[in-house]
Amino acid sequence: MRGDSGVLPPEFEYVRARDVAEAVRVLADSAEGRVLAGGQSLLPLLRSRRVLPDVLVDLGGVAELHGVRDEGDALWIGALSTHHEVACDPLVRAHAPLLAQAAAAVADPAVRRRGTVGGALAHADPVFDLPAVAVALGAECRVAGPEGERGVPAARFFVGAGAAAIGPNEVVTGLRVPRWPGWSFHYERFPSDGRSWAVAGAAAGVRLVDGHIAAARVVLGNLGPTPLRASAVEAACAGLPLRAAPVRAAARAVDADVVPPDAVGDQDRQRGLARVLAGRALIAAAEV
Amino acid sequence: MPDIGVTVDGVRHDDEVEAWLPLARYLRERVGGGGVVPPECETAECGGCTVLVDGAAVKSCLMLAVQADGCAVTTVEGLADDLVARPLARALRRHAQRCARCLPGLVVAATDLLRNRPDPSEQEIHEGLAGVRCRCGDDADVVRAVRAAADSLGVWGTRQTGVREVG
Repeated sequence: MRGDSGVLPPEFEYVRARDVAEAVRVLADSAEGRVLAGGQSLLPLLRSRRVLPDVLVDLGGVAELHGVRDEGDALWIGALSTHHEVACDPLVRAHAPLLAQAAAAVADPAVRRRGTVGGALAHADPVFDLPAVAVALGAECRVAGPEGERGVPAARFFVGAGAAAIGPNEVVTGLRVPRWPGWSFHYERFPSDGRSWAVAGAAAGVRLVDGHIAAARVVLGNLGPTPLRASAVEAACAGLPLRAAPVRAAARAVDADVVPPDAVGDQDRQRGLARVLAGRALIAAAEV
Repeated sequence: MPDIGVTVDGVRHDDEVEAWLPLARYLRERVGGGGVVPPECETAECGGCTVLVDGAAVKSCLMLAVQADGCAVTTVEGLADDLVARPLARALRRHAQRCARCLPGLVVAATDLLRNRPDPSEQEIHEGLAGVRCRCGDDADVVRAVRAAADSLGVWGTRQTGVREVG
């Protein structure tokens, strides 16, 4: 069957892991082992031979990585939860609506049915919607390896375009999203319709006290190799009255955050996108 | 080589497959006649290979055959007598068909959409079918066709009798 028209994945050994421990063991015994979850990013990489594993470890049958749990101060979202499941999950919608909103913006419905949270984190592709949202929510990526499980704050998890802070023998097991009582969040992306990758995105949250913005969080996606915390905008928002014009003006402070020495493309356009998306996300979060 | 057991359009298949074999190619070359899953675009862009896996529309080029082990796969042929798919195929042929390469994927994706949302807005249709590209026709025609199918299903009682899955 090989050798006819079309780009097929390379040959590799296939192991269906029963649990995380077995997956980690197989990775440790392999030279270039890779993890297969939903495969929505991995299959194109395999087909284009940008990834050439000797062993593919399929996590699909690992029950412990499925589902969403309420852990009191945080929600635990299993790495094998699909974007569709996250977008529809009642716990996520109630306690981390920003995550549900971003999950619903990922690619198209067919990809959302298979693509997983763990895959989106591990691939750390800047065009993905999840990284900026995970950073905005101060989430913690859970990672298991030969030495056991550890947590990595999302702000330190994405270390470069397509690079995450995971070792070659480690597996993403889930995402812990803390609760944000008193805060409301919103995600904006361009283009807003899921038919294409996000050219840029902005996740923003505000805490309102007595009709003022007491505090804000703004994280930009795909305006650099990793999510970018817009601290100048956050500072400019603090204490603002709840009206659209001053919030939009505060979003102009984004210029100080978008320092794109290695950004691809027109820098004025990047700054324009950052300003507009941060402003829209803040205004929607504050509902002004 | 891994062994898999897959039910395709109601028929159980037990096969030994190469681990690297994409589901789309397995369906096309091992299981079905050529029309079941159209030739792949190889980039996951076209969505023509969309099938239902355990009831959810997914791109079969983005799945390995081994991942479908134990699953029920429904191709457009398995939907030939489907209450929702039949009027959809008819409406798509009438309003939107040009070269028909995207038709199998469109019928499958739109069936998933209407089963979960029997009365979708134009925006919901646009978003729901975002994974399947009609290249020579017009998006607006596709939306019109799905809307027409939804209307005919409404007339014939789908909405009234609640024949739908909650997803």
